Order: sequence, then structure tokens, then C-alpha cells
Amino acid sequence: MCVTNLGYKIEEVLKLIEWGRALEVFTVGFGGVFVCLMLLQIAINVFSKITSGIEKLTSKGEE
Amino acid sequence: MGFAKLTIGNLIMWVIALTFITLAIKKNYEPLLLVPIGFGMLVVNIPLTGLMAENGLFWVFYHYSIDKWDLIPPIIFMGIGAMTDFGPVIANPKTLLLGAAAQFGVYVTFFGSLLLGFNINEAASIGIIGGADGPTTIFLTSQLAPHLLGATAVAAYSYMAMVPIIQPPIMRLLTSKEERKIRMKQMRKVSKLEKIGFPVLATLVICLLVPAAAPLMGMLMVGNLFRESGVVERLSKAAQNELINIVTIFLGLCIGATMPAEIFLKPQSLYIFFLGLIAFAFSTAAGIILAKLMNLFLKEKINPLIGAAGVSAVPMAARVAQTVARSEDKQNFILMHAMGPNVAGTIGTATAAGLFLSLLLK
Repeated sequence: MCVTNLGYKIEEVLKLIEWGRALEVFTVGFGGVFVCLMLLQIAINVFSKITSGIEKLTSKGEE
Repeated sequence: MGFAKLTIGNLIMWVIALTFITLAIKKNYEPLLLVPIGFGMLVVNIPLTGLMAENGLFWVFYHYSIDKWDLIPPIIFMGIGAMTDFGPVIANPKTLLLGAAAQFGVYVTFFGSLLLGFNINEAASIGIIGGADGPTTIFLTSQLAPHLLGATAVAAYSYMAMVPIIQPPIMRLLTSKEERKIRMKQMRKVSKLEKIGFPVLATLVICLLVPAAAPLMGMLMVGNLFRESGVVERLSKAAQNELINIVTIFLGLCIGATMPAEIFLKPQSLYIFFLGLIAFAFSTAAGIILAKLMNLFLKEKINPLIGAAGVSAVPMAARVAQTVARSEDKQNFILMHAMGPNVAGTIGTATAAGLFLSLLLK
């Protein structure tokens, strides 16, 4: 029988785990990382467009 | 006399400490950390020194720099920010997704740790090893499970040093020869304005969404702003040299000092090392698999090897991707492309740590 870190059998551990909280941590955590980085990706794309627009305007102004 | 109180455990820890120091000196494995960690571990396992007793020298270092105020990891992040060029991410922001995917190992290990009987806070601290980011691991563990700090920190830094050994077999297993040979177009030039704006933008986006990530993200990005602004060269140099060197000394000694035999020599330390390896493997695999999935939709294919660089370990993971790519095609240069997911992984791990704190400290 598989025995865990604290000497419990795996069946006992399965009962002890707060599955609701663990799943919340997984979904909000992993999903959250993706959402944050996707939003950052969008923000960078928008920012790059704005900066290239500004740079074009500035170079035209200089000409 | 210390001799009278010497235990077998102390002697085992001396051997481990000397192994760390030897690996650092002979093999160049993370020497900046393994030398002070090894030495800290050695002296703290000399009986009766009182170094880690309340108000002992190492206790004071540890208590005020990590345990109580959690100062060191954010300061190290500032130094990393000052050393990092985020240009590859700005030029190709898609690579942020690879940095996110590479956090998968963190959550797989989180569940693995729960199944091995660790509580939820301990599981999060062990899982974050998969982010391959030592300061983030320390930052999170010191708040959620300080009693595991020594084991998680050493596991994180050891596996970071072993990236060139751990990752290539997984990379070869999950990619075909043709995929490894994919050449990527040269990245566009990133303007100075974009580079200056990025740290402000990234801080606003990430910290508004995950305020608990602010100590790491804020410091990472202020360091990067020092670098990119070009007007505070002295601050930038201080952050990436003197300051990071000073805190690295204290960090190493503190981590070593958290490993007296009676705390470290427990089965749970072995479990943590095993779980850390699982975390690394899954993070590497997830990055590669997402890169392959992205290729199904992209016109310009990306080399899936760069997905493996989504684990932070900057710049080692990116170099490993380059080495594996060049072993198939000598003329294939993907290093700068791999730096994108590599630095994105640092942002991803800091965000994951912030989310763990938000969810578990509420």
C-alpha cells in the first residue's frame, strides 16, 4: 500500500485533501497566469502600435 | 566542546555541504549561491555555535531579511530586472504564452504534493520550484511554509543548475527532427520608447490584476526601468552588481543556515527534491507542447524548442534550447527567440506566486 510523506495511506490522504480549495487554486492560479500574460500580450501589441505611430509622426515632423 | 554534541546527522550535513561547495567550484553549478549555501550549511551543523538560536548571527540575517520582512527576493528581482533585456518579448509578445504554459509543472506538482500528504500551503511552495526561479521560490515559501525553505530553495537552485541535463531529453522526446530544425525569422528591432514603456506597462497590467505579485513584479520592473531609461546608469549598475552581490551573500548564508540536520534530514526533503524534478519536467514539456499547438495556427512557424525556455532559469534555459537546435542544424540561431519565453517565464512565475499568496493567505 502506498504510504505518503506523513505516513498516511493514500486513501486517507485523498479524504484529507480539501479538493474544492485545491481545484480553486489550480483553476484560478493557472488560468490566472494565462489571463495575466495574455492581457500583457495585448497591452504590448497596442503599445507597440502607439509608439510606432508616435515615431512616424515625429520623423515626419522632423522632415 | 562542540565535539561532544556532534551527531551522525551533523556529519551527513557536512558531507552534503562539502558536496555543494565542490560542485560549485569544480563543476561551476550555480557557484554564487552554492558556495555560501554550502558554507552556511556547514557552520550551522557545528553544535553549540548558536548561530541560528534566537539573536544568533544567522538567525538575525534570516529573521530580518527573509522571515520577517521578505526583503532579499525582491531586491534580487530588481537586480535581475536591471540585467534583463525584455526586447525579445516586446518584439514577439506571443512568447508570453509559452512562459505561461511553462507554469503547468507548478500546478501538477502542487497536486502531486497534496497527494503525498503535504498541506495546501506546503504544496504551493513545492510546486513553485517548477517555475525554476530561486528568488520566487524563497519569496513564496517564506510566507507559506517557512519550515520547508531550505529544501525548496536548494531544490530550485539545484535544478536550475541542472537545466542542461534535465531538459534536452524531454525536448528530444517531444519534438521531431524536422521541428527542431525550424528556423525562425530575425526579430524586428525594438525601439527605445518601447523598451522604456514596457516596465511601466507590465507593472500596471500584472499588479492591477494580481496585487500580491507587486513586490516581485514592481522590483523586477523598476530594475529594468533603471536599465532602459539610460539616465540612471549608476543605479542600474548598483542594482545589477553591488546590491545583488551583497544580498546574494546573505541569501546563500540564510538558506544554508535553515538546514540543520534535525530539520533537513527528513524523508520530506527527499520528497521535495523528487517533486521538484517532476515540476521541472512538466514545465518543460508544457512549454514545448504549447509551442507545437501554436504552430497549428501560425503562418510563421516557431521552433517548439523555445517553449522549453518558458521555465525561467534565465538565460540557461534559452541557451539549452539553442544548443539542442544547433545539434540538428549548425546554422540555426534561436537564442534570441528563446529569450522571449525565458523572460516571460520570470514574469509568469512571479504572477503564479502572487496568485498563490492571494488565494492561500486570504
